[in-house]
Amino acid sequence: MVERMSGAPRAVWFVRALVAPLAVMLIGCGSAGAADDDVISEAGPEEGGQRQPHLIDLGSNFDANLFEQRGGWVLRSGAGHEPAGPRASPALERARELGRKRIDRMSASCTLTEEQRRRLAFAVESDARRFAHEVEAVRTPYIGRQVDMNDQAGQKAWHAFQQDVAKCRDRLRNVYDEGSLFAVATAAVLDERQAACLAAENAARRSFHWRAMVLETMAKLDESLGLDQRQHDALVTELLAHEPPLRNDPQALGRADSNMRRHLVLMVMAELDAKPLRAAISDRQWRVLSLQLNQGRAMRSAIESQGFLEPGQGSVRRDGPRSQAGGGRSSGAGP
Amino acid sequence: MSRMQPSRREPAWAVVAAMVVLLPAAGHGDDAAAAAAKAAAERDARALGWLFQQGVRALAAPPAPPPDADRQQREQIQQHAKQLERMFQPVLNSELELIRRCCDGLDSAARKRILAAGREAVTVAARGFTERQFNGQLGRDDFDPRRETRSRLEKALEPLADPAEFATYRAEVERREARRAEAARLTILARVDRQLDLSADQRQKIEAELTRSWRPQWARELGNRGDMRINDYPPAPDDAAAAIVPHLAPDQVAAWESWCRAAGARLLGQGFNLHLDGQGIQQSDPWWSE
Repeated sequence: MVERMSGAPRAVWFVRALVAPLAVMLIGCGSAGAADDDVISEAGPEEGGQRQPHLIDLGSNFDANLFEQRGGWVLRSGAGHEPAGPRASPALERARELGRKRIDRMSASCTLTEEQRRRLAFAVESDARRFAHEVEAVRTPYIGRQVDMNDQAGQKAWHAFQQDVAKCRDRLRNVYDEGSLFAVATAAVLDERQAACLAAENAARRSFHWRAMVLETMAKLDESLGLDQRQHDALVTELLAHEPPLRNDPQALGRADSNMRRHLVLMVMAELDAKPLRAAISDRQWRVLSLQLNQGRAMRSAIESQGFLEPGQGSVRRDGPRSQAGGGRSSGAGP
Repeated sequence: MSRMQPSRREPAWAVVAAMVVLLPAAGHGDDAAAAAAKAAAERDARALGWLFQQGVRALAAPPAPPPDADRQQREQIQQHAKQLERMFQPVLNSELELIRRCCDGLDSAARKRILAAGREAVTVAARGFTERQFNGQLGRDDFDPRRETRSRLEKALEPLADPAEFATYRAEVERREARRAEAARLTILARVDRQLDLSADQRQKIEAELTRSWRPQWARELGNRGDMRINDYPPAPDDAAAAIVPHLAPDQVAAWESWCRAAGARLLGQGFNLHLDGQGIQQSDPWWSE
């Protein structure tokens, strides 16, 4: 062994002499670090005790369901998700962020002055605080409350929790709509030219997204029905002429997945006069299309409850592009 | 037993070597006994040679898969492909629907031949789809069952249809491709708009640029890949960046870059996009069999 080692070149010896102690040090440090990690992990409540997946901490599930879900539900099991105690609600920050985006988007459309921005920001702050206060009132009773999902009472509590979160989601969607200080301030702050400019921008965005939804859906109908150009044009013309009151904010538009967009288009098509549609396509095609229209019609309540359309308006309009500023009940700022 | 018979292909050296070792043991008795011993020795030598040869082969050759594995997979593919044929049937029916709309002058014999070609196309497409599924190759090449079916139908149709009607059909197919391209462009643009709040002017410019520099692979955006969330973002259409970025404002460029870093569509690969939700034309059109 000594002989073999003595036969190695000098450079190799040098590397060996340098690397070996370093390696020992690194391994030592690594294990010291691991020991520290162990200490931190052991401090957590879940590591020591047995995890109980049927126990749900409603407090820690509240924010995740209100702010992180796009209409669905997440159920994070196990007790004690927040060993450092309950976190402050992110409601105020989320609402402020949405308000800031609205002002930025409005400014990009109609160039706000500093004074206008300041006044709108004040309105946003007021609405955001009111929203956060309302959410806190709903959220507080759930903090630290655990329910057992194996238990009927626990399941009942979960359903009540879902209803409360759904109300807060609705409120979040409408926080800057009609009735908000922001909506009042927008009408007061913008001059006539800015209001017209904003209305045009909002109408263009709404029409663009409707056109995108229609053509995306028609691409699938094209494949499933074997349409020719004339048939395609007949359906598209009808759909574009009956643009629904889409909500224009990124929250609503971002939540609409491709399936929901398709159903929205089918829902609108189902509410059109069937005669021209029926005349444009063959019996075989109609049999398939009518089934899909039934599906679209059945999705109305889901589409409305998830806030893809302006509240309180019929889904279909028949008189060309919307004329009022901002469209519908929202503040006119779009997002 | 028959496999154990020494073959005539035993190498001569093996036979000779065995005889050298074994023959002295036969002794020097009378001729009959010597002949019997010699025959036995030769037989043993052949057997030894054969065994030696098999041993060397076994060492040199890689372990062969169990003989049944391939057959089993072939059977599975066949079964799955058969099931898929039923799911692909609406694809055929919708393609035939378009052909009928364009070429209603086809005579009965021609219609039957086209229908037969269509059925064969469905079989081939289902087989191709299933093989790729089993080999983990789905979406890694440009195989598209719908296109496969359509191209086979088209080949069958061309010599049978009236040239004017065939030209009408070809034009309709091209128009449909153009419509898909437009829908894909708008889908891309809508996603960018949701993320970056484009102005109407920006949307117009980007749409024009996407049209000018259209790439067929962007049509995959018509599937549901846009519904995915990567790092809490939808996939960024970064393979169309050259058509988008020049029209963005500086703050939008920064947002675009962080979006692409977090959820670039390149991370998704080609993906595969075929709608087999059973919502095509389910019933066969009797006109084709008349």
